[in-house]
Amino acid sequence: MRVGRCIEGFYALAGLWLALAPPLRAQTAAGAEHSEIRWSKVSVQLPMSVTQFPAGEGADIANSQCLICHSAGMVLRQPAQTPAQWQATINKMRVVYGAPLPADEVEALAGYLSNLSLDGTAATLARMNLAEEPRTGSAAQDGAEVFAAHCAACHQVDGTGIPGAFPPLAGSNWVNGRDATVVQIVLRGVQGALTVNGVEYNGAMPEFGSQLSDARIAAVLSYVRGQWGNKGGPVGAALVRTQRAATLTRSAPWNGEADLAKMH
Amino acid sequence: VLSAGGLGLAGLLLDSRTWAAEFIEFPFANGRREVVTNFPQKGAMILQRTRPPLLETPFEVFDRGVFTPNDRFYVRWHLASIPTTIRPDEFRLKVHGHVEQPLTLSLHDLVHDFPAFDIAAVNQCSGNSRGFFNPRVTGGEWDNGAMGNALWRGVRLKDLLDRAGVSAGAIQVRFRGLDSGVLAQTPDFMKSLAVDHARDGEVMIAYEMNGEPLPLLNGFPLRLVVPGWYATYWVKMLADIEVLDGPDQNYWMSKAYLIPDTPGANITPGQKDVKMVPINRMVPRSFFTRPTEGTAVKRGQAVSVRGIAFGGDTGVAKVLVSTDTGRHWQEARLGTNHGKYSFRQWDLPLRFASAGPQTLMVKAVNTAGAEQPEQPNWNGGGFMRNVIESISLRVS
Repeated sequence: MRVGRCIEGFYALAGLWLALAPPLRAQTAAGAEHSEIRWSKVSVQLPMSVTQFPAGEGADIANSQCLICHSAGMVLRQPAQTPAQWQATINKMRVVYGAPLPADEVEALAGYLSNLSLDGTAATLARMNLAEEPRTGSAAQDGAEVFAAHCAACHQVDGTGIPGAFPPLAGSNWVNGRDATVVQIVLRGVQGALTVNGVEYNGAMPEFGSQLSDARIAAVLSYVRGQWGNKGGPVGAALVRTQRAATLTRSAPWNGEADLAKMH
Repeated sequence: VLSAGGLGLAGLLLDSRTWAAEFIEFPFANGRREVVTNFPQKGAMILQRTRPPLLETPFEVFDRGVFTPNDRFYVRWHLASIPTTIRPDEFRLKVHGHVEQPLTLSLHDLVHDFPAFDIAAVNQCSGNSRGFFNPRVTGGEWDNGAMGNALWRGVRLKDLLDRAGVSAGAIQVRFRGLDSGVLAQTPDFMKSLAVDHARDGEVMIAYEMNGEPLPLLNGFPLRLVVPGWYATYWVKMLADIEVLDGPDQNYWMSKAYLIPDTPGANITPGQKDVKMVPINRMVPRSFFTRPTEGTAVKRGQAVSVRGIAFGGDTGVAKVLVSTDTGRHWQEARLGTNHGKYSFRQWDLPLRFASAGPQTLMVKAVNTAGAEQPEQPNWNGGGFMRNVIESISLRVS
C-alpha cells in the first residue's frame, strides 16, 4: 500500500476506517459451509401505491392506462418532455408491452404528460411527489385499497372495465356468482375466451395468489361483491385458504370459460 | 414494525394511514424524492417508484464500508408481477435448450452438488446517474445510488453448464427469472450472454449476498452475477437457463439496453445512423463519500477526504484527486483489495491554504489503463455515465 504525504495521526484514524471489515461470514471448511445453509420460506408484502395522476385534461387516460402495469411515481419524476417525446414512450408501451390504449388517445395522453412535466412549479412538484405516499401495512386489509392498487387499473375505479379489453365487475355474472370460482380467478388468473354479461372477452388476467395473502384476497373480493350494485356477498379468508390449498400445484392460469364453467 | 434505520426520527411524520419520512433533493430538475422504510427486508431507501419497485441507496451508505448492506442495496424491477412468496423446497432451477442433458435442480442440489464460489463484485444499474444527463433523457431518474457492492456466494455457471453438457453449435445462454408482466403481451424479462462468457468461470449464480440469503427484492433465492458487467444481466429470481444455438432476438436483448458502439457510448444529442450494440462491460468510476458537497472546513486544517472507486471490468490501479480543477493530480491511498470487481476505498489527507470555495475532483484509473473522462458522455438511454466527479468545499 502506498503511503505518501503521510500525516501520522491522520492515517492512524483513516486506517481504522479502511480496515472496517466487510460483513464476512464465519470461515469454515467448504463442506461445513454447505450444510450451514438453512433455507426458509420467504413471504413478503410489497407496499401498494394508490396514487392517481394529478387532475387535468387527459388524467383519466393516464389513470386507466398507465397504472395497469406501473404506479405513477416514475412517470411523475421524469424531466420535461415534449409531446412528441411522450408519444414515442406511449407507443412503446402500446407496441412492446401491450398497453390497451386506443391509437386515437395517444395524442391526448402525450399532451397531458407533457403539460405535467413542463409545469415545473414547486407546488406541482411537491404535490406530485407527495402523492405517492406509501400506505402502512395496517391498511392493507382494506379491500378498497387492495382494489385501488391491484384491480382498478384494468377494471376501472367504477368497476365498468374497458370495452373490448377488460370486462366489467359491476353487475358481472361471475362476480355475483359462485364465491369459490371468483376466488380461483383471483388466485390463479385467467387467460382465454370468457363471456361476461353476454359479451365475449379474450384477454389475460394475472394471478394474484403469489402476491396477495388469503386475508387480502378475501377483503378485495368482499369489497367488489358489495360495490356498484353487486350482491355477491362477502368472501371469508377461510374459503380463500381452502381454495388455495386445493389448487396449490397449479401454475397456469385458468383457461377462460372452458375451465371456469366446470367449477362447482 | 417500522424501522427508521439510520435516519434521524426528527421530521418523521407518522399517523395510522399514511406516513412520509424525509425528502431529499437530487441536484437536478424534478429531483425531489421520498426516503421510505416500508419495503420488505429494506431499511431507509429513496423511492423512485412503488410498483414495480425502484429504490435507490442513499449515498451516505457508501461512506460506511466497502460492502453495501443487503437492507440498503438498491432495487430495480421492470415488470410488476413479482412472486412475493418463495418456498425454497419447491423452487427449481432449469438448465435446458441446446444441451446434452437438461437439468432440473433444487436449491439443495445446487448447494451440495457443486463447489461453492465467492466473489466480491459491484452491481451497477446501466442507467445509474441518469438524472445528470444533459440534455436530460427519460428512464429511472437516478442520482449516483443505483449501485452496490457485495460478497456473492454461489456456484459457477460454468459448473452447471458442464454438468448439462453444452452441445456443439451453442451461441448464447439466456436467463429468465420468475417475474412477469401484468399484461400477457408484455415480453418476459430475459437477458443473454455469449456462451464463452457464460463459461468463463467468473459468471456465477448467487445464493448468498454478504453472508445471508438475498433479500427478495434483490432476487431471492438465486441471482445471476456477471462480474464487471452492468446489472441488467444480473437476472433476479433466476429460474431458467436456456442454451441457444443462435443469437437471442428477444426484446430485452435486441431493442432495449442498447448503447452506441462508440468510445464511452458517447454521441452528440440528435446524432443519427449510429450502430447500436447491447450494453456490456462497466467503466471505471470514483466518488467522494466524505466530506460531502458544501461542507465547511478550516484553513490549514488536515481534512480527511475519502471515497470509493471501482475499475469497471477490471481492478482499480489508482485513484487521483485534484484541488486545482484538473491541472495536477495527487494519488490517494487505496484500501483493502477485495478483488478486481469490488469497490475499493480510498483516502487522502488534504490542507487548504486559502479561504473561499474549493473544488475537489476525483478520478479512477483501472489496471487496463482506462480512466474517467473529463467530459460527460451522452446517449439516448442515459447509460454508462462515468465522468470525473467533483465536490465543492467552503474553506474559511
